[in-house]
Amino acid sequence: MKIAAILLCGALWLSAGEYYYMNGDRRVDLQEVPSAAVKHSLKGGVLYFEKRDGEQVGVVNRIIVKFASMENFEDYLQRFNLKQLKKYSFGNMYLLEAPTPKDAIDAANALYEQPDVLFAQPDLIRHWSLR
Amino acid sequence: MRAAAFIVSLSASLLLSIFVVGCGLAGGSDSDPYSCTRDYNKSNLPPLPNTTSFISNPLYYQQWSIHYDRAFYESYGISSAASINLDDSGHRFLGRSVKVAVIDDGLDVTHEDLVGAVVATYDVQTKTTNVTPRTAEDNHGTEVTGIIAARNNDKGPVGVAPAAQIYFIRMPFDSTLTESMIIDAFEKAKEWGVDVINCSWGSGDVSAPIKAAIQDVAVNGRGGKGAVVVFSAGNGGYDAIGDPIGNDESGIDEVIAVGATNIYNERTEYSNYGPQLDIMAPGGEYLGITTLDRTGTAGEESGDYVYYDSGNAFGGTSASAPIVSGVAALLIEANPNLTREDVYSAITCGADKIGGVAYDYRGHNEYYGYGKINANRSLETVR
Repeated sequence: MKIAAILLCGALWLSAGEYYYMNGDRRVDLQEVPSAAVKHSLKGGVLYFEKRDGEQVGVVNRIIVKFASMENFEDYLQRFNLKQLKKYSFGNMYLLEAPTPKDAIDAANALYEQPDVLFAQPDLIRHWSLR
Repeated sequence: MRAAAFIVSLSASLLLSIFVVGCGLAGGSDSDPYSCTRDYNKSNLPPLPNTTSFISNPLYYQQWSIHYDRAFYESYGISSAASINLDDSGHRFLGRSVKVAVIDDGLDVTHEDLVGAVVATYDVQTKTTNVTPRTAEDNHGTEVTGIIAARNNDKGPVGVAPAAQIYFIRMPFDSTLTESMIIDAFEKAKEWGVDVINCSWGSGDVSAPIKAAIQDVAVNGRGGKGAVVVFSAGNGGYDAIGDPIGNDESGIDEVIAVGATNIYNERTEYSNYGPQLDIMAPGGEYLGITTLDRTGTAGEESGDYVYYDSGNAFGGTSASAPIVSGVAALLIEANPNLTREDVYSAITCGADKIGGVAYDYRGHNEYYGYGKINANRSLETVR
């Protein structure tokens, strides 16, 4: 019963169009796409959305973050329930894992608000075209 | 003989410099990192190599994009100035010892015209070295790689830099491709210490993480000289009429954005445009770009090559970008001291002002960038 209520709340929240992520300092609003409309999917959980420009994006349970300083890194991992998957060779840039895709969106948006975070966004599945 | 050729080359370079400055085409003030008045470091350059002929490559005559072949040009009404002018001094430099990364959908590493070309491979999806095309449509990477580095070996066409070392990175251009895979690709290119990175693809809206990765490689790669990152500007989306480059990967400041010209030496209808556009190169319109195809029955055509007149001829800004990447490899062989900014300046400042359009005080036009790449002229400036 409790699980059903949580799922219902989640569905209502999704339909309200509250999802977004930050591309640098630009907010990108997301509208959920029913999974049945998606032709392909990765194994495991992927949340699919449509951007306002019509591009479809998938969100997995990972985020990409770059820190201005590493002072609060461990605190952030703990606070947002994140796990380090990879440190890139591009300054303090990391690939972090969240429990679920929704957690990844929430964690990325929360990290973006921190003064020592340069950018934070979900690891998106997108469409890159060969030209 | 070598000394005489060198003096001729130096004189041409000096005359060109005078012309460029005199005509007001210099690209900005002394503080401009891309200025056309820059001094290239010409100390301790390797000896000028002997001239090499490409004539014995059986499809060379079809390669209207890189050289003028009178009979071929006349039979198709191609503008005599349509090529990138890769003659004479261009054939001295072949991209020897220059590392060129190609990030694309797969590579037929067994191709007869790539024997000895491929030094390293990496697949960002499987984390293995297997970059073999996975689907029937994964032909693009072989076509792009051929334009850069098809060998000068009496087979097929010849690449712009036929002695360049290819470092191929495969990405899946399907619904499994993630931002982190693309970042992995640029990290691998940085780890390999490549000189040039060719990307004949894009999103139209680059993300902050990918932009940061590209900028890092461009600025800090190549042992601090900076890797030359080349992106195709795009083909105008679904309607194939040019679109603004906008926030595309090719629009990143540290990237060379390449548009496409046709056989009439004009911008193709589909080529994307904007203030971010840097340079034009032949991309095929009316005639395609002869290059490698996957071997046998795989690929665009039955056989090992895709021809200028094939039903599925290769073209687009995807074909233009590797031409510029190839020239960048020639420049780095000609002068290994060059920084990323040096290569950018040599390419843009040496370009032909085509299209009958006005270029601004910097020598730039939103539909033609700094003009169409001229390989010989750019090479003359850096030796």
